[in-house]
Amino acid sequence: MVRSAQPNRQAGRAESTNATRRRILNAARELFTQHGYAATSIRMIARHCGISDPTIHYHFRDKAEIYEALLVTPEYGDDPPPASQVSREALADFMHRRFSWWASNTEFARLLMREQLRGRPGPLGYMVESELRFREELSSAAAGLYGQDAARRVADLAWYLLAGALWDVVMTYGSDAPGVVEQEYFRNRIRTLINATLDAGERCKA
Amino acid sequence: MTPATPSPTDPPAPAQRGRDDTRRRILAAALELFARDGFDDTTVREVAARSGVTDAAVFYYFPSKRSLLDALWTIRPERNIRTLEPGPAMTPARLREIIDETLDFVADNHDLMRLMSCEALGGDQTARALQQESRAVWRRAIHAHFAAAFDATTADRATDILHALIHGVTMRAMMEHGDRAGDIFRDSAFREQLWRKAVLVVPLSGMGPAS
Repeated sequence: MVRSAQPNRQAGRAESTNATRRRILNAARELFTQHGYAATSIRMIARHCGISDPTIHYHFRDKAEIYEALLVTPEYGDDPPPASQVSREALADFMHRRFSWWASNTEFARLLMREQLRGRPGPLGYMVESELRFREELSSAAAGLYGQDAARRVADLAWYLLAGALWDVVMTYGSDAPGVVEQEYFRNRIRTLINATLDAGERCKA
Repeated sequence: MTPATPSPTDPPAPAQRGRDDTRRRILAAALELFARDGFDDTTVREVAARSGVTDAAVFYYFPSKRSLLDALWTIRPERNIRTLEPGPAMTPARLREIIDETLDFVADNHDLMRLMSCEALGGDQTARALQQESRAVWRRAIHAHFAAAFDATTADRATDILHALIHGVTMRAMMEHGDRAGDIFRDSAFREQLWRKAVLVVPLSGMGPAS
């Protein structure tokens, strides 16, 4: 306990390494969003975050590796409700939390969408993976309430409705999207979509 | 009366018609390549090769690559959601008609929509404005259908739900299938699936409004 209170050189260095990495990744995310992947160079990233080219190459082999580092499945930092004690409210809350993660990362979503529309395999694979995970988490939680078949339908509807709403707001408002998703009318819209999927679950329940 | 001035209804002179054809061919090639490979990654040379004319011919009509894009932005889709009249009942069959109308439109214009979406996402203000306009036209048409059948609150919600669903399903297909998406949108099994999802979430007449 005393030890952890003392400043640790090793840990300090690791932290600053991580901070540099994060700065590079943030700059890359912004520039990829703005110019697309192909038109962004390591040099532009370096200039954007005020780090030298060699330092960037110390952290990442090439541009592709920076991009791949941006495409890891997000740490949502929470779990879906367990199927044994699930309620309608818990399911709605889970969907809200997942949507909120994306709503607070609309710029990232914008970057991904642009690349996905161009059919780039990396971003497409990333979408398929996040989609599968969302469907699995939601349908196994909802199975406790509606049974497996209806739960799968709920997850299917929820994925399309929430992805559709996110893509719509990102496409329509671009860099203003982060402000729009905070508006009360938009939150209500998401509530409507989530309720519609849960109502469908109740109707489909065998 | 000055007979030398052709009236707008006169057929164009043959030379004029040839010019229009070339211009149209270049624009069609540009749309195809920009939508598939992106505006940044396409060269004027590629557009020329695709349309079967020389680089110089492209530059004769369009002084820069950017002016090709600007010309594409003046293309207005022929129709948005055609002429379905809103009726007092929102039946499953009516919902199917609305979906078919919408997907006919998306299928006919998927190249332009894909390009517009990409450029709007990249910050092109014209693309963004056009995309917003076509979104608003579609939402107004859909809302009129629901407003004829339901109270105002239900109509608002129904519009949001159907919009999110159709947008989610069509964008997903556009991402996955790229320039082959047009065939997917025309496929009746694809439409059937979309309709089956829609009847589960969209309020229908005689079933009580969704909460």
